[in-house]
Amino acid sequence: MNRLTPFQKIVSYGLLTVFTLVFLVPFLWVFLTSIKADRDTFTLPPKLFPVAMTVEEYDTAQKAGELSPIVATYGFAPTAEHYRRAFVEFPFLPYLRNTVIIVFGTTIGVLLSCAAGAYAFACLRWPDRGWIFGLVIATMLLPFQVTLIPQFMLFRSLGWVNTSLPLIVPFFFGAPFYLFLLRQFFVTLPRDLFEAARIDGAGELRILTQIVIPLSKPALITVALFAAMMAWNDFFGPLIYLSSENQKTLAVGLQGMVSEYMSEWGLLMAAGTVMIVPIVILFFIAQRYFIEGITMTGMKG
Amino acid sequence: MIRTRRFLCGRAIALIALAVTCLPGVTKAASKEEAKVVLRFWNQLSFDPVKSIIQGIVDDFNDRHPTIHVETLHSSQLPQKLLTAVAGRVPPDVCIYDRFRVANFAQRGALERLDELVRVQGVRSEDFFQVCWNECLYDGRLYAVPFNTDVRVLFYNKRMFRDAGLDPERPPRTWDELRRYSERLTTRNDDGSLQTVGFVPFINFGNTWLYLFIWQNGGEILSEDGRTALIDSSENVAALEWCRDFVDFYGANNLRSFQASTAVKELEPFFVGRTAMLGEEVWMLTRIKRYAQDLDYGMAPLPWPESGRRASWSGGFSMIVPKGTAHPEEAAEFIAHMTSREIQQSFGESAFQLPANRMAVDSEFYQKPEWSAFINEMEHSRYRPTSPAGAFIWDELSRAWESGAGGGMEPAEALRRARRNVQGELDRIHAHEARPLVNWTYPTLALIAVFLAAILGRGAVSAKKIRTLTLHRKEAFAGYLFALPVMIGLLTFTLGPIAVSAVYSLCDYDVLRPARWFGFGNYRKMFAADPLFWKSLWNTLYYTILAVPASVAGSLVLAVILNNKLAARGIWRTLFYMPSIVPIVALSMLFLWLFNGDFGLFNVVLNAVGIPDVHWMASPAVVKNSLVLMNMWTVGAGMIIFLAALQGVPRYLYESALIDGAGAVQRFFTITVPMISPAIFFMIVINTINSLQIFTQAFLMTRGTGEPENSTLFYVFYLFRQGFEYFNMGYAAAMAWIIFLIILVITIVQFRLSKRLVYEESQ
Repeated sequence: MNRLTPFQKIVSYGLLTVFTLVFLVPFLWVFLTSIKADRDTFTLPPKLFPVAMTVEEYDTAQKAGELSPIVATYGFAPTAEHYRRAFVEFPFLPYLRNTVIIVFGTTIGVLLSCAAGAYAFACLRWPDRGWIFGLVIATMLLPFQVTLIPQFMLFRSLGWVNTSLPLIVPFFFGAPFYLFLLRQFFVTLPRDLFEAARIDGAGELRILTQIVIPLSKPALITVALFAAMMAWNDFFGPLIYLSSENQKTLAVGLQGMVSEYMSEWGLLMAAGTVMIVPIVILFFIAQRYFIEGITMTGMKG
Repeated sequence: MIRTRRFLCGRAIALIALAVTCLPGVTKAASKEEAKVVLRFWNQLSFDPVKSIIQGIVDDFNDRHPTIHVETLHSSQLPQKLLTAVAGRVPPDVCIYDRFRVANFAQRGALERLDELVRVQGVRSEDFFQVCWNECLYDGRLYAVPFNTDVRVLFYNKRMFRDAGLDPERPPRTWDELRRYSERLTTRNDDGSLQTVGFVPFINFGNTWLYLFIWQNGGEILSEDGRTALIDSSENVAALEWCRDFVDFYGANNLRSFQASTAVKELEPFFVGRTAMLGEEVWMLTRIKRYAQDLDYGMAPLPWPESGRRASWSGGFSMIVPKGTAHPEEAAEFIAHMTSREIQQSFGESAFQLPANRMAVDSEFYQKPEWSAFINEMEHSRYRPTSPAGAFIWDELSRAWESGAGGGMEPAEALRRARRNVQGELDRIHAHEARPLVNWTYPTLALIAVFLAAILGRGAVSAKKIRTLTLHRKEAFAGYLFALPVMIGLLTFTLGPIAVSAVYSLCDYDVLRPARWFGFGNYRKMFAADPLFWKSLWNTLYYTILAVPASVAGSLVLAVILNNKLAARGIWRTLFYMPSIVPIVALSMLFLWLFNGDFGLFNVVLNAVGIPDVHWMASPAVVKNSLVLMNMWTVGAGMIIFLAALQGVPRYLYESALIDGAGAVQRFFTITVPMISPAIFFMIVINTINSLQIFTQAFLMTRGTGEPENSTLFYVFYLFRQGFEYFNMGYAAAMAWIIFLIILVITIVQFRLSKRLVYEESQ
């Protein structure tokens, strides 16, 4: 974290403002579509804001004094219809429940197995670590589509099809991406710390839990966040392994709204918005720790 | 303060967790249901309002039926799901499934024969539209019962007819008239681009496809027995030449910029009076009702050539019973109910659909002109050949149409290529049973032997090494212990399946039947006889070379800016991360809108500063760059990793650099970059791997077509198509091994380079 000169500050804020405009467009569109009536979704020229009435209707309503305050003031009328449907017709809460179970299971599994694994691959010296680590990374290189069928057979023989176990249990046995990510953080930790702790008689588990983990909070939070987010948005896994309506997750439900023939755009975007909000909140809470992290790793300086 | 906040935060999380676990639980089947036979029913018509109407019919059936309880799963991605479930021998009992794809399953023995089963339930072929019923037959046997249907007619805009001085009550009847009308209805802008068009026999204009023009011109696709491709017959070439001539009148490039939206059907130029005529089917009525209520349109039979024949074509959904169900009779009873006159009528009317049961269309509802226009066309309607290579033929014909009519290739040559490829695929499929079955004992034993030899052999070496260690022996043991879960997971969940896929890559394997030995046939075809393999590889490398540096640099820039002391950093960070968490479905649809040629935001902005339109998704030369651009929206995830890494850079380094008078840029390159080089390396490796596997967004944004001209047919996209649409899993596995080797080489090079360039404290 650096202090900036006034000039640097101006440049930074300027850049950030431009980026923000660019990055916000998707959200604005998702959100605005979610509060638009269907017939306003696709018009030429495109309307960014929802206008739930035609010009004639507007005039009539205005003459009759029936124009709602929002329309009168802002010239557009949002509709909550899609949100109502997202909660009433779309079984949002059961889907949420199924999703949350998978997200919690996955995240805990990833944190436990990858922290331990990354510690072994980054901080401990043992004869086979190089090639085994290489093998783990190599498994990321094969497109999952081809291992899907053999994996499915495996989980079927374990009797796990139609349960969320195939989506959770493997994460308790490592996940290459997160393992690699954590390992890259752990290798930057000073070795002297471990040696000193070992001389003081600390076991490896204690070094992991009391030195490595506290020092790697930003990395662990990043990993937890990514794992949670990927499980939250994962579509293919639940699609293949879960086969009843009441096991569906949010992402699967969301995908179900898009079709080749007709798509429920408003509903899709309303459900999408509702699906994004919890992650945004989670992220907003978590990102604080990236800043806090500095005071903890400051001991290096 | 911080402690209270954290405490509250913890409480809030606990409360949320509690609330979530207490939510209304899974609705367990009530105890009285237990005596009933439970039918697992998967429905591919999974979107509203059709889905809710089907669910209503099922609920009603459950309420009234004494012995059957139907449990429904609605899923738009049924093809992949059904394939895995049937292969894993846990199929549903009954499905609503795309009729076009029935033969794909039927030929491979994955479906129950329904002839007897539904006959005893009173289902009679003469009650159905003949074209629908016949599409459910394969080799003369019944494998499905049609559920609903579509059929194509000419939609035309009456106001545009009037404006052009044409009689709105006299639509064109022949190909020649269609062409003349179209010329009258076409208007151009000053720069030669198209303002309005008439009829366009080209990809993405309406829903006609080359099949229709071939049939109208008297041609056929396959021989009677389905074993010989007739794609390049003189009638067919003439049909494609007619399309080509028509397209040339407009100019293929003009058409591409005109119809720059491909996947969002609601952005149809017909709705806003820019396309005067197009061939469309039943769903069009729903879309008009919803998005263009005021449209003044007419409907008529599709014009056909004077020397040819009147033709339309139908597709739709049907009900199937996968093999392996324990309740075929109950499934047949349910099918009989769903396809009965009564249910078909109420379904059709409420869902705005055309039922496949023709007895059901005698109601007042179907007497309305828009419906009778469709119904009258049913007797002239045809269906795409029922073939186990159906999906393959579809893709080849689309490709021939796109390049033959679009000017990329001479029509005759395009059709010759299509015939050659289709014939090859037909021969491969029909040669399946002549190939030797794989005896799994040997590969299994060999694999176990390899694994054991590796573990034991390597174990012995390692054990010896450990014994010689004195200082670090405990550390080494701890290493094995901590990595144990990862190693177990690697062996069971990943290496096993990967090894199996290696065997499949040497097989002719369609997932539904046992694998048959094919030697290096898949690899030979890939390198010697499959230009699409090379094309998809090129597409993927091109994308990767652009996307990886762009996104890593973008992430790094954002992270470095946001690592400074700025106001409201949390909010900025959240903002930039947000696009990364938008579900990919929503993000893809959003970018189709942004990239739209007519009213996409990008072109609106470019035009405002005087730059002409860019054909983001329509031009083969641009589309990959567009996807790279789209990828830039998700740099937030990389930013997070860099931010986390930047926390580990000791501040004293900067302070001493400041004292030495180093500028900001110099500090960035001499301190920041080296100190976070492990994270940069990680990002490059991961981004490379991910880019080489790009699939989902291209698949969603082109509706699975890889348009334009296969420019977005990326490697894994093509692999997916081979495995899950052509059921050629052996070929998909072989492709996976090739991309695996390519990525492996690239990654090893990256690791080698990193040894010199990456700073690692504990090494």
